[in-house]
Amino acid sequence: MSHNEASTNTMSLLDLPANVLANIISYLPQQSLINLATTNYAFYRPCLRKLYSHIVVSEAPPLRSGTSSDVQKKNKKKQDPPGSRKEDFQDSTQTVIYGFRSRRYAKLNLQMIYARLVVLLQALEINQELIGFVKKIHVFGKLNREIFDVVRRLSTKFVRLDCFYIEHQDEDDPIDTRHLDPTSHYMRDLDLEVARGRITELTIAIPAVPEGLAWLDSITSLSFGDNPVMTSWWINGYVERKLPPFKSLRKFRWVFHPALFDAPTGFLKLIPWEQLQQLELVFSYDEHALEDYLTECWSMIPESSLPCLQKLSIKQGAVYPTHAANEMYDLMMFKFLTHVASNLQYLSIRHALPPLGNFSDGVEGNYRRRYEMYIKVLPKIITRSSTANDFILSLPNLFQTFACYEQYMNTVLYNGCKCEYCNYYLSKLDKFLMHHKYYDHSTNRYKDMNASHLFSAIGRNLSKRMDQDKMVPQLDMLSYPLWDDAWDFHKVDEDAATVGAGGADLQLLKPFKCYDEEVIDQGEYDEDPTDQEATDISPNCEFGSELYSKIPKCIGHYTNDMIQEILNLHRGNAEQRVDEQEDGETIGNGDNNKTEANFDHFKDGGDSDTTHRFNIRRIYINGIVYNIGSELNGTHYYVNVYDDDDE
Amino acid sequence: MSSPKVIIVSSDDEKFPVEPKVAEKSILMKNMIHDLNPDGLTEDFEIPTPNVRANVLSKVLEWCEHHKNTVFQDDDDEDAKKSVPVEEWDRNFLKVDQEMLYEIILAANYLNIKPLLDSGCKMVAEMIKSKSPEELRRTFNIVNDFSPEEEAAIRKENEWAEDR
Repeated sequence: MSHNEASTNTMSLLDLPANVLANIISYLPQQSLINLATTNYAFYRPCLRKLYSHIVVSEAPPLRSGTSSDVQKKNKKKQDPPGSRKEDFQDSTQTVIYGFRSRRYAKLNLQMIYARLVVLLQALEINQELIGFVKKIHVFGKLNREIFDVVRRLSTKFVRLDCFYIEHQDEDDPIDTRHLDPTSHYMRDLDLEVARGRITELTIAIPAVPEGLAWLDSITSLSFGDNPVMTSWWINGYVERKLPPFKSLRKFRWVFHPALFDAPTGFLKLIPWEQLQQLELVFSYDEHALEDYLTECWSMIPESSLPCLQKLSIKQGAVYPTHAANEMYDLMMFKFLTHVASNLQYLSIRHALPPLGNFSDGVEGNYRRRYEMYIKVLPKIITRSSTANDFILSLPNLFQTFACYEQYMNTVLYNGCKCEYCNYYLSKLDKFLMHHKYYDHSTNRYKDMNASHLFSAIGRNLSKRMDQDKMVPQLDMLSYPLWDDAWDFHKVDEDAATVGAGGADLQLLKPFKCYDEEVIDQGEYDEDPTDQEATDISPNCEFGSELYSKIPKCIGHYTNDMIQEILNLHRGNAEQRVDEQEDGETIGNGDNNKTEANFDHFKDGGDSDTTHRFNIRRIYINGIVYNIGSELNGTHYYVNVYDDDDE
Repeated sequence: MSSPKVIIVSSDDEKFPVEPKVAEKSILMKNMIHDLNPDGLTEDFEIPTPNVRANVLSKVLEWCEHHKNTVFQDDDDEDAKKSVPVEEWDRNFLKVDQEMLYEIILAANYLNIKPLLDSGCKMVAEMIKSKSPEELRRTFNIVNDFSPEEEAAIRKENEWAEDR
């Protein structure tokens, strides 16, 4: 090895042993790996080994701390110093093949992805050592035929891969990945015959248990897709053939659905709950008897026999359309959490919401109740029950749930953050409401928008930062970077998770419609119904992905407040505290809730609870990410990792 | 009589008496203590660390002392680890010159103190991030042993992964 002379008497990066170097390199994102690899031969192989190990193809670029915001570009010199509290290593989990960082032209973006794949293919052909570095490949999104063909060529390059996952297979001529002898396998209709090989992780999205699968009992991870019909056939087949219990299982994903109520009882007995470390539970909605349904679901999970549980994800699998339904759901879930949280280190809670918000019972009082549940009660449950040192809390669409309360969203829009930035962009949002209408599917008419419509759509799009695809459970969110997803300010779509239950694809609702003049209160009911077909986005509309990229920071200022509240840093002003105190009490006494309301009101930023140290180190709120820690004097601090440039 | 101590001896023969609890933050020392004293410590127990200098050892033991009551999870979830920021105390503790940082990392590696090793590695990774190859060579005193052609070839080979 060629050491330089200057470093003969001082230690240098080059002198670190291989395992330490690999540890350091594991925290580097793709560009840093390339840069370090080109500095000296000693780094070349370790960096490339990491660069090629986990590859994801995605239309959205990864979100990078310090580089994502436009402000960073403006004052390029004012980069975060190394060791800043905004540090983030999540983007080092995968090497992403994306198009351009700015994705104004979708077509060019796809061409770039294609070009990158071709270069990768060439690299693997020229330097065959690289082939052995690749462990996992994921291809997300609906990509065009050209790209699909390169992916096919790519699949032939390998003899063995731990995982080769393609979200949208070509239905006529799917890419068969079975020859790769994977460790994780996604069972879909095409492969009814799967040799055991090295498989330890299995995702089921087929309706029948194939013959010769007696080895299933030895897998460590079992996930069911969202389609309840397939699941019920599959588990019935499994139980009827008296196949053995899953003795080695550590990770399990299960979907509850009213349609498969009798089926699971026998099957769930085959799950070794007492040794599960990771669990994802998905709850569909039952509009007829929600309380009975949820009670019955929870009764099937033996909460007292989950002592090893480290990661838990709880998810709504269909839209819960009202505050009341959500509150009932949340209360039962929180009760469950108090029993299972002792060894928990990661918790993800995801809701499924009406795409355009507006709970019929979304009055401000209900907003407050929900706020207390998530900002006061939930963190308290975690700090009191979990012994983990570094807890990670993920609430992928919490803002979107708050956006369903129209009254309060008006407050956020008109009386929210008063900083110069928000003043400017919140008034833009106001302007948007004046110049757009939404399509009401129940009456087939365009109608005036309110703040809940718009914030719901923003929340939905912000949550896409944390979406992989519906086959990848929320449990695995930490294994992917966050996505820098763009929104054109007009498209309205449903959460992929909520339509999965019917097996349908993502549904695109009619986009917001542009008007050149202010439209509010111009007699929406008189509008000509034939107008409903005109859904084009006006070329003059100033609202597009460029402007959208400024909005996360505004939402961040709103969620910053929540974090301050969670951390006991929110001093507010004296009068405000009294009001909120009263709110807290009404929650405790009103209705039949068991919600705790005796919160401490000392806002010194220290631990309010002297016997339980605050142990949450990272919180994801709807794609807005916070690092949390303690100053040397014990005061808590937080940093908004991606969406705030003024610390 | 006071309870027995673990006496850790640096490469330059300095002795550091510490509570067993502090020494046991090092899995290497923990195993040694338990293997050689299956019935528990009855008297002081010496452990030599022939490749850790006194000034480094005292730093490492400062860390162990601070974290003696911290319960670290035996974390094999590499991805989860990437989401957790370096604790403020550790960050402050590791604000030392590069050479000292490497020596602490090496000692943590040798003594098997995983949380300290990880914090140190994250700090180095932070220093590497967002630097150009030229800046990296300057910061870390790395001599370029590639010809310009080789360097260009590496760039070309990995162009598919460049951020732009």
